[in-house]
Amino acid sequence: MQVAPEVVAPTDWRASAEAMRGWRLDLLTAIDRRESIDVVAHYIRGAEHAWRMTSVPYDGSLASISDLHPAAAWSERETSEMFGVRIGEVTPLLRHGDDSRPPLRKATPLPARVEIPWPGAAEPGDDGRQGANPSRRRTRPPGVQPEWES
Amino acid sequence: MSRHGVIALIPEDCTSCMLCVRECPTWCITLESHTEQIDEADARRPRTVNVLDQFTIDYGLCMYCGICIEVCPFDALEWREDVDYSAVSRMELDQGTDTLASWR
Amino acid sequence: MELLNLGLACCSLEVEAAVGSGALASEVGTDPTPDATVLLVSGTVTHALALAVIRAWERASEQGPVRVLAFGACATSGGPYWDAPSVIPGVDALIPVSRYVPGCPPGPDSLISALRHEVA
Repeated sequence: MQVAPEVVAPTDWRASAEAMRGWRLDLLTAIDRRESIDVVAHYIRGAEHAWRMTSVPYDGSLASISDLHPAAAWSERETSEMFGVRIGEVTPLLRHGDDSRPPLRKATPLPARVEIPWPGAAEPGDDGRQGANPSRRRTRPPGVQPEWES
Repeated sequence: MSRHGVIALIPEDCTSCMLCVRECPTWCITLESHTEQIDEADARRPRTVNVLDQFTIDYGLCMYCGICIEVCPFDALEWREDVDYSAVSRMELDQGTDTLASWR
Repeated sequence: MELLNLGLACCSLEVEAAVGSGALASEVGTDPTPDATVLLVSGTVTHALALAVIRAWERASEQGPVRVLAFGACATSGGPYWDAPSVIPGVDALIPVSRYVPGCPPGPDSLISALRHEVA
């Protein structure tokens, strides 16, 4: 059952986690909104589901809730590494000595999807020549962001 | 027991619209086609149709999500749950029109 | 046949299902002096584990010829993660592969058929 997330201010993030004592933290992750990053927590109690969400600027920080919900510890480290936010004290989890851009940000390019020709660039009937018809608007492969090509 | 089997093609229903190729998340479908002009007796000009030359699915990459089957407007792709196979080379996993059609 | 499983990711759950159902035991047998060794690579091969995969193959090869089965899309080509910087797109970049089993994941019966082909 899908429930709309309750949005809280970053300063209220710990308070909202405290109010969810007795619930089980199922997952904590983030969504890159391009101007900022939304951190999302999913709680479950029996058959009930609840979502809490807060917005953090790029390279911003957020308080950890792992003392209130121990299950958050791993997720907070992973979310910090993958999105470039600092949740609590960040210790390396999956990325060790890797100073490239955070992998899950939309602005971080995936070179393989830019360098390798997309089979979908061909138009119907154009004998496999990619983009042969210049008057057609070029569609982009799903998930490939416009800024990767520059 | 339910299992994903393979994805088969009905070539005569394919219009080379490229929708499956574009929506495939792993880019495992390749499609080559050309256009032909069909003269019709009572039409003022010939009709242009797409003719499928080669439809290929690279089963080494395919993640069997079924998006291609869902998105095809002409139901030219279908699940075949009773087919499974393995290969001794990756080239063999690149299946063209004839094999995909033989599985239907 | 002796079967060694490098259970790297979700595909190894299907291998476990084949083991748990007893199907694998009846196929592979319990001969203490196997005449064939098959190394199953079931799951995504990452750069972090590349050396471990190579070492496992080298150690297995010390006992005799080893046939490698790339089980699933990830072991075959990187699968849905072929584009990821941390992923090696196919275990054949590291060790020689005898047979590729497509699937995401392939079911336990695909494993059984592939093994039958391999030892036929």
